[in-house]
Amino acid sequence: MTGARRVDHSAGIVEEAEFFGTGVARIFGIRYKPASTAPLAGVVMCDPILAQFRAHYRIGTLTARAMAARGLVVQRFHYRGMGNSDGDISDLDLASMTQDAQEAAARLVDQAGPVPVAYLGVNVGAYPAAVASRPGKPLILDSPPPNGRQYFRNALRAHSVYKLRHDSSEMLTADALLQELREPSADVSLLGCRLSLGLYESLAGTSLIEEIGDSPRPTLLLALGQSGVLRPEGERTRAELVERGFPVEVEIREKVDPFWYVENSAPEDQPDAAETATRIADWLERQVAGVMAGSTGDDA
Amino acid sequence: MPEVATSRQEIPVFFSAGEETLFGVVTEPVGEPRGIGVILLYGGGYTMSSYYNQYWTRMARRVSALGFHALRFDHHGNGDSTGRVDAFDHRAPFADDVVSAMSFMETQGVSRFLLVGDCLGGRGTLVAASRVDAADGVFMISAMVRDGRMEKAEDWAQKYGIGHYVIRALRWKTIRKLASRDLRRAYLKVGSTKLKQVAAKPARALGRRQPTAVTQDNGGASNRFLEPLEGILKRGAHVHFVYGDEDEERTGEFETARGARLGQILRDGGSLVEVTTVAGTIADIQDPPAQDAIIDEVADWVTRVAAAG
Repeated sequence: MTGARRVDHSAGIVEEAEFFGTGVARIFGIRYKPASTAPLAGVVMCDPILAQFRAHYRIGTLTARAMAARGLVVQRFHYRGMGNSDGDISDLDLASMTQDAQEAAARLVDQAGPVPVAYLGVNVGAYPAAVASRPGKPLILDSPPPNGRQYFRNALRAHSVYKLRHDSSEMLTADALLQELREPSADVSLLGCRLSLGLYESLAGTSLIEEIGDSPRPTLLLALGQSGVLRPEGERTRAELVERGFPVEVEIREKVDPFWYVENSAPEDQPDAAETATRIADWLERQVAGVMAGSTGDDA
Repeated sequence: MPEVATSRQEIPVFFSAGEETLFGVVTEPVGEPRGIGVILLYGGGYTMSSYYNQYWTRMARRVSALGFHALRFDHHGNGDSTGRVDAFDHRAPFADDVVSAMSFMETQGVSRFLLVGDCLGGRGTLVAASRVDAADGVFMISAMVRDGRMEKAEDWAQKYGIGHYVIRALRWKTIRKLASRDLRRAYLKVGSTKLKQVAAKPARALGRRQPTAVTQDNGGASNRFLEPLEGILKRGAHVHFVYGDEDEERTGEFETARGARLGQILRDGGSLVEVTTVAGTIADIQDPPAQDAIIDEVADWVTRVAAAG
């Protein structure tokens, strides 16, 4: 491995950063694993994209470290066309994101051994996680948008709020965005992040349920709600999955990750990372003991 | 020589900075190495060293194609580094981390440095350059001449009156959350910041000046900005400022300061000093075409400064 390794004795974890991948364009990733015990299971973390990639990044780092401290091996990666990976935004769409998630899973198994592998999708990262997990892999959905159209509507809203705060009257509607994206010479961005027509079309026309498919597999849904009740969109997702025969567990959150904007409070002060890690580790432990018995990540 | 490098020239690294371990990516030169390292540091806020639109990734790969080593990294408490950061403050701009980054790059065959920093990162690279003679130049993107500070406790403390916080502190939901050590610390921070703000009001009413590094003669510029700037120019280091032509506030502050002591410092710097603008905004969320223009400017500047010896 041409990469870097860090041992955190106080947390009891090891971090390995590297470039990997089978194509010409390589993927950047960091693997987090327990320092002294064999990992219980593997988690491929599919991050969000666009402005949420940045807004979520530090929370993602803390969550990955906390999961490793709970005995999981976590493979985090940057999609090709983003972050430290090769490629360019024009290469990025749902298919490429899914392929990168699958390569990350293969890398995890290659380096950590044949552990059961689950996919964790954060916000729109739930879409590649959903596709990649189709062959019976456990799926963890963290604040997933129910469909691509709503995802972009939220992005446009966040973009407009930012513009309004900065005294700009520039308002971008979904129709205007699509029209701009279709201009061959257009350079379109939302909250400063470049967007391509391929990425937009691959997500805007689909839904989470469609991408998850019909093959029932253990699913953990982390979503917004209050007093033990999911918000309607989360409840619809849960109900549809149950109807398709998915064993679904739900963890309700009262506060959403900032996601579109970067907050100024230290992520270490937000309990979400540790709570999410504990919830995922507990859930995966049960899957390993039960449903996943006998199923390994060899075919990840 | 290819126009840009790829990950094939890159090695992720962890290196020490005091008690923390910082994460970075070294991009090795594509052609004949110049022995010069270009250190890249982003601005304030929780983020990561690649940034959106692969801004710093692209910049590192671009300069490496010109024969430079590059290092983009996360300061402590950010991205993939260890540690925590409670405030992004121009009075504490992670200069120690920049110095550690330079020390690390010396182990990679680099003996001279050019530093590139955005906003708070610009201040960090400037202060670091004033401490390390091997730094031959600083390229500052949308540099603030005054001392800015971003901290959630201050945002929150400013938002409401003291009564709001008293009522909120007595709620069962708040009391329950006090079980968390991190949240206790966060609440305490907001409370003490609010009390400081309240205490500062009568002091202002009585005409007492608040401690500050800014004097009227500086045209709003901080001595923490002017002194390292003057120091590195006196020893012959190059300085480049770039601003966005739509960032009126940031550019206005720079121009006002230029009417005072900053102007004299820049004039004394002569041809070592360059000031340019790019189209669009770069002070907060950056326009992607402005990012592209800055990458071009950095590539051009490092080449010229290296040639000037």
